[in-house]
This record gives sequence, structure tokens and C-alpha cells, in this order.
Amino acid sequence: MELIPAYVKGELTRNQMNEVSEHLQNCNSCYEEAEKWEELFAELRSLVSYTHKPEKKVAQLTRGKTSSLTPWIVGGVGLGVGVLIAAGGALLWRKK
Amino acid sequence: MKVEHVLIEKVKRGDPKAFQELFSRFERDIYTLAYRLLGNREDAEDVTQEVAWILWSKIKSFRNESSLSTWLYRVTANTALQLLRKKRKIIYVEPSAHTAEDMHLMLEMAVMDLQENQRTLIVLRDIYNFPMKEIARMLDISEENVRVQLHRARKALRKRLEGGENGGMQRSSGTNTSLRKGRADEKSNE
Repeated sequence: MELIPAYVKGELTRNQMNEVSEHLQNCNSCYEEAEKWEELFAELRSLVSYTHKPEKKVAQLTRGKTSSLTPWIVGGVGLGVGVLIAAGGALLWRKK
Repeated sequence: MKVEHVLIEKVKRGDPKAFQELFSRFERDIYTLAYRLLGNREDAEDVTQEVAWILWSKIKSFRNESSLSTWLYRVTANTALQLLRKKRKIIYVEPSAHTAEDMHLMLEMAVMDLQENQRTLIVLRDIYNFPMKEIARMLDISEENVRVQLHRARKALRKRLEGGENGGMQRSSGTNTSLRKGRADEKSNE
């Protein structure tokens, strides 16, 4: 009984598949159970073609997209520029 | 498929119009997978936006070895799971405007009503047919663990559908037929 869903999905080893298959030929209740799982899996797969529509248009992204990485990039560049200015300033000050 | 290939090549050359057209072909599919994994519309929209950005910025590395939809589903699942891990918040499953007679909706509601980890497995494996190995990698758990948890998730879903939990979501006999009829206006890509 426990192996039936994985059997229906073809997720068992070859030996297990053969064992369950043999059992299903002789056990009506397990066969009916397998049919129910098969039906449920078909229903679940059919959900792929039922899609939801986003409330707002989200694909206007070729410009001005704020990726979650953007703040890190901006921060990193800003920090780099800051370090360069400070280093330049320190060099000038030492020369004086 | 040929038109899609042309669009992909145009996007690779940096054509923003082609990008809009290409992305709009997959937008609903991406949004729906994200929504099913995350359980709320706002986060699903954020993920859709992020995937659009990834498509735009990484399309050059797409080699046509798998179909673009498979590639996008993988990117979407990974992005949504990352967000899920970051947030780990109570998932609010929004009520839908559709009627309760809609069998497909009832099945979806039963899936959305599962615990977060169980829902993730059902969505990835039983709805979108991701390979077990890939799911294990995405969730950073062993394949054996995926099998065990998936089995529990499937039993929990059956229990809900057969009326064993939360008053149940009793299905009529012959659900397969009624489900397939679904709502015409919900179907996409037709």
C-alpha cells in the first residue's frame, strides 16, 4: 500500500516496480488504490496549464530594474570610489 | 518553437522589444509556479520580475540544450525557494474570486493549504514534474529525504481531498472528468 504512489509515478527501483506490479494483479483493493493515485496525479499535472495572471504587468524590466543585487553593486562601487578618494587625499597630504 | 528561437536570438543581441515579446509568452507560467510555491501574489510578482531580469541578463548563457520553458521553470523555482528561505514567514493563502464548484480550484486550494515543505514538494514533483535529483539539490536535502517527505505530502494531500482534515474538500466521484473541464478563462497558451 505504502509504495503505490511512488509506483504509479515510476519512482521505485526495477525490483520494487516488479513486486508491486505483481501484487496489484492479485489484490483488488490495492489496484483500486493505484487507480485513485493515478487519477490524482493526472489532475495535479493538469494544473500546469491552469495559470494565474499577475495583477500588474511585471515584464517592463529592460531598463531601471531594481534587482535584489543592485543595492550591493551600487554599495560596492560607492565604497570603492570612497576608498580611492581617501587614498588619493592621504597621498596628497603626505606629499605636502 | 521556431519563432521562439528567433526571439531568443534577438534577445541575445539585446533587442528589448523581442525580450518583451518573449517574456510575455512565459509570464503567466512563471508567475503561477512562483505563486504556488510562495502562496501570495505580491511575492510571486517579485519573483516574476526577478526571473525577467535573469532572463534578460543571462540569456546569452542559454544554450538551447533544454527548452526555454524548462530553463525558466528551473530559474523560477530556485528564485522562489531562495525567497522562501529568506522570509520563512507565515504563508497567507489568498482567497480566490472563483466559485467553489470549480474542481481544479479545489485541488489547487488543497495544495496551497498544505504545510510549506509539503506544498513545495507537491508543486515541484507532482505538478511541474521536476526530477527527484534536482528537487533534492534545490532543497539541499538527500534524495531519500525527498522520497520520504514526498510520500507524507501526498498522503496529507489525499487526506485533505477526501475530507480527513479541516472539514475536508470532498470531491465528487469522477473528479478527473470534472477537473479537466476546468475554467476555460483560466487556461493559458491556447
